[in-house]
Amino acid sequence: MNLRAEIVDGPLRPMKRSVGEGTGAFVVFEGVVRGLEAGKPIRALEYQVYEPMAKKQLDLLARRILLEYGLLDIAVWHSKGVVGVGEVSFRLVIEGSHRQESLEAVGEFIERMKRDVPIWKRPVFADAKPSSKRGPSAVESDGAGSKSVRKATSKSKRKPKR
Amino acid sequence: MKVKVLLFGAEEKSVGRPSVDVEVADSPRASDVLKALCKRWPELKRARLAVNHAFAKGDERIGAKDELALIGMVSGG
Repeated sequence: MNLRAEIVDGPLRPMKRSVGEGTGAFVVFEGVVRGLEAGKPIRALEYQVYEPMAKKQLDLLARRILLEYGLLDIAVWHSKGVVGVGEVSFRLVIEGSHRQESLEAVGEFIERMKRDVPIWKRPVFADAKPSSKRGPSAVESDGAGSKSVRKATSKSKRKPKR
Repeated sequence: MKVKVLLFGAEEKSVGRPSVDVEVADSPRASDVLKALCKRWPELKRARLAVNHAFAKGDERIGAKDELALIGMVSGG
């Protein structure tokens, strides 16, 4: 069993797929910044992260899900700072022996993350300047539903940003 | 004793700064800190207190060197 949980500055880069010997299911979920927020066009999402706690909670969550679902491997990355429209801000990679527990684990991981991991996002509208440091974060919406599922690709030669 | 509590997200916006200091009795429990916070800022009552990067139980004792943060509704992903 393996796991990793990391906070990354800015958007996540494409990942290279590497599958373990006992893997029968390899599931990748990527959260992508959607171009509309409550019907208004946005330029980006800005993520505020309480980093030491977010890292600790992501790690704890990955350990729990790994054990509860009997998985082989979990890796998770989440962005901090500004991530542009169409870019990836969150990636969860789960490897399991079988399909059912692997797919269920993805949904459960995300549900718990949205409850317990201290990360906040706010939309950066087309005519706004993103703030560079911590400050009043003006969280206007959580952007729920702005995600899509992408299939893993073995074509990319780049490794995920660490 | 005075304790510093970090604020983020909606709580930071509501209070207007990234941290606040609150006065509590010596050797307080987490619930004492929350009570003091909510007395001054009632809008914070739905948030949870984290101590040293983990969510605290109400009866957990707070030390002078502990890092406290108020975690409201999060929106990662």
